[in-house]
Amino acid sequence: MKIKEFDRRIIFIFIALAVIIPLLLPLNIPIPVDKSMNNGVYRAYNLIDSLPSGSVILISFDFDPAAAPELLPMGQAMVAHAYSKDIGVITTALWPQGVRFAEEALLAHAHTYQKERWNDFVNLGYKAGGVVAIDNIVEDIKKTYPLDLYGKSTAEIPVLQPVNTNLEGVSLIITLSAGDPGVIGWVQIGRDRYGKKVIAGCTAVSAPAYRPYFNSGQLSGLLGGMAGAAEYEQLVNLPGTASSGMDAQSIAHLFIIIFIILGNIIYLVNRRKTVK
Amino acid sequence: MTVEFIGLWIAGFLTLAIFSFLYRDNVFYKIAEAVYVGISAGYIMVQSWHDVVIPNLLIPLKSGNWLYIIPAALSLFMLAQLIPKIRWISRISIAFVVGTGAGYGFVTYLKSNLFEQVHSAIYPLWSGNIWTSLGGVVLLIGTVTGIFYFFFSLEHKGVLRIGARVGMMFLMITFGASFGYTVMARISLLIGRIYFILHDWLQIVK
Amino acid sequence: MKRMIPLFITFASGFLIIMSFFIPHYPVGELTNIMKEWYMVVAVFAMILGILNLFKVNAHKLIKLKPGWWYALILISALIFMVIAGWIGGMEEGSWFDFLFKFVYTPLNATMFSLLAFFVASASFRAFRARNIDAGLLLIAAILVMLGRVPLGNLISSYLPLIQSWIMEFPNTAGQRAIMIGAALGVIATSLRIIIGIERSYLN
Repeated sequence: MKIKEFDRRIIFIFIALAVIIPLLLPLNIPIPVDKSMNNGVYRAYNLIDSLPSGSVILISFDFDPAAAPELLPMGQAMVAHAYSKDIGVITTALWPQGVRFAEEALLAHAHTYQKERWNDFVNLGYKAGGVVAIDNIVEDIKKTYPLDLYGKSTAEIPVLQPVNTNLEGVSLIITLSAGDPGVIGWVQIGRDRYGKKVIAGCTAVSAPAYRPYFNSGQLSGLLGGMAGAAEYEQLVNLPGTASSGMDAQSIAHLFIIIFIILGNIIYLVNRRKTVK
Repeated sequence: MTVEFIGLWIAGFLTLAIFSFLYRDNVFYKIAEAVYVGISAGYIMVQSWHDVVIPNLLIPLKSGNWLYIIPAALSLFMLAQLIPKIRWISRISIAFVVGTGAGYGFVTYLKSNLFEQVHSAIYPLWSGNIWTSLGGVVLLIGTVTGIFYFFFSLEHKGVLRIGARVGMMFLMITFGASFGYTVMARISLLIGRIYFILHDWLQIVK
Repeated sequence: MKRMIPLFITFASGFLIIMSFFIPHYPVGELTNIMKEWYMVVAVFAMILGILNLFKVNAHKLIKLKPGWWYALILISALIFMVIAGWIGGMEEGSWFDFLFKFVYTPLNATMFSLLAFFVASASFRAFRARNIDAGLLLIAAILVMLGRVPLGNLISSYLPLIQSWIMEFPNTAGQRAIMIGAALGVIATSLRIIIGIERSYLN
């Protein structure tokens, strides 16, 4: 059999089915959560959980719709976690599209926890300039954002009252990042220049590359991809889209592994034939 | 018929139009692609204008802060790139952007990606637990030999050759892990879209 | 002159930013704080430049009725429509702009990238071969990570998540750290070359 002549659309059908069927007929495979401090998700959860009520955190939504299946569930679960602990939430965005997802995450559980815009959370909107924008935000957030997304002066927003220059009054920075600008900039400026604690939620593609930051302590938590989001949802006991996607994720991975093994068997058989 | 209902059907058809590329390139895909590029550019333009240009340039200018004439000029110079006769003016703005970026690149990478990483690569090997200690040894050998592999100033001979070879093996494991995570990411995006079709659009899945 | 002024600006802005890390207060810190705000605005105009360029290229295609001109027409119409929707109709929830983001931009952007799932699966079957030891290591690491990171892995064996986590924590971190250090040296050298004017390709 010649692999090059194989119609790849057959593989496409298998992958589509591997995702569709588990979504239609869930297998409900239990999602294990590694509760060790080596697990970046658990470390992030612990850190947010340890903040006293009345604290304020900043979450930056640095992604576009393409990464939303991985990063939006993280944002929603983390915002809900903060609300449940009476922690104020400030959102920013280094990607213009992130603004809308910040809004979605802020509103998803606001009603449940009776949280109000400006008193308990604020969406500041987008800033261009990547690492320079981060430096501006950390150095003086109210000067960088004279107005919030709805045009209200940031000097008059209650949730921003305890926040001063150098992000004094903000206990933690969380970046939900699909690439650049994102994790690297927040680590380089937020953590290494201003000494703030930074947690990163990133797409699975970039999670291995940020592992050295976690190992060195430059990141205080690391959530990678939909699996990381699902773990966080389990920890806060709010299973959402990431948790319900884990069956499909498992089956699709299994199919891809089968494809790899099959491809290699065909390769070995063909090679033996050629040698003979 | 609600706006939401119409929106979901539009989104559903656009999703299928993009997926149709999997069968073969076709007119529906091409239309969807053109709409995507146009809408995307329009979105970025409006959001950036609203969130950056208005609060960080126009409002200060309106309130009489004349210092902001400089960023206004630099911004307009940038657009000179579109007019061949005065294109050279845009070099001033480009120089400002590139110079500032280089300044940041120099310090931040030196501090965060070089010093901090080298600093955290030096640690006591015995941690009290056999597996983490073994891991620590692997981490040290992997980092040092990996750097050997990227060391192109000298020919990979003798000890350097062995080091580079071991480094290559570590990099292969790293790329394998990255491949595994890349697969994970791509599948997650597909799950997101299929979930949209089944849950939001067709409402088959709760 | 047309080259000297930009080269001086590059040097001055790069040097001041570096100095601001050492003198974050008056006078350098104050000066760079102003520069940093300007930068955000100029960065937006760099994006606008790209968008106007896209407009120009497609308008040219449309006017000259080049092959595929009607895709250019769709692109330009979509762009103009989105800009008008945002600037005239507002951006709040329920606006046209919001509608277009939710129901047109989001599905297109997300689906476009989800196509990669199919291609990565096809590539796994057609090209992912254990031809030698190196490729074998890559393949085994990939399989262990793929299985260990999903709930199914834990169902097969509780060791799989542990192995996955060990690979990520040690060999992967080692390799990524080596890459990170190597890349950092590259960025540092390039930044320095730009600041002192050896690297000038951005002026062309």
